[in-house]
Amino acid sequence: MLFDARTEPRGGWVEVIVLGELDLASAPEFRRQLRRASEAGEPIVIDLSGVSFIDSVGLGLLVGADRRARAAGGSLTLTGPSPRVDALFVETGLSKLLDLRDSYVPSKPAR
Amino acid sequence: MTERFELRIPPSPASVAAARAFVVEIAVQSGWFDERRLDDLRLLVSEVATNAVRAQLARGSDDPIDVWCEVGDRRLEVRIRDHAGGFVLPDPPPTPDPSRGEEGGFGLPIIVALADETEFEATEGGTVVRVVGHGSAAEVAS
Repeated sequence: MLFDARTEPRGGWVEVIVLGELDLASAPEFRRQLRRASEAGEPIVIDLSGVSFIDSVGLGLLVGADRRARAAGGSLTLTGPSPRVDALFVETGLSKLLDLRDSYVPSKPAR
Repeated sequence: MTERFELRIPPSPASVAAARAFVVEIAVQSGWFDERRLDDLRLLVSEVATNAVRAQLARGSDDPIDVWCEVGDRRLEVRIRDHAGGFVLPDPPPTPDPSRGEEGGFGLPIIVALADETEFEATEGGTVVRVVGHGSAAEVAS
């Protein structure tokens, strides 16, 4: 299994946990999880710490998800990218657009 | 001494990973590419193969995609041929504009940025994309 993604409600925010290679083959499943995550209307956090590889297809999906979250008045945060994945965000200029963090701390307590 | 390798893949999304693995393994065996350059090659091949697969899927072509890889003299050349009509690289090459929030458009800039040479050649019914990566300054112990 080269790819797995799942969506977990966290009480006040929704986390999408991504594992493996994010490319053309895994794009449909990732897109499905992003859609699920957006249904709650809560802040979306995408845990990228398990992503071993990402190319322009994955970057494009993240940009699209970010745009939709903002348009809906929500937010999207990316957490824990590996140094190589993080470098790619910088090289493509996306680090200026996307909310990249080591980890996510909700602004309010979850309960 | 130049070594040549060839891989034929179906135009399906899963083939992109096959193309990556094929080229990276050749690069590893050559001993000329450090981790950083291997990562660059992996991404470079992914982008070129993705474009080829997408172009053929969009056109409904079942023809196989050819991946040719030549390695020698601290240099690795990959040529990927699709059968999806012709494509000509815009001049100047595109740059990504993330502020526009586009989902696509990152592939070509990545190719141009990572490859030491890039060439798009229209062939009969398709395109051959040729990219070259130079090895690291020092030989990498393998």
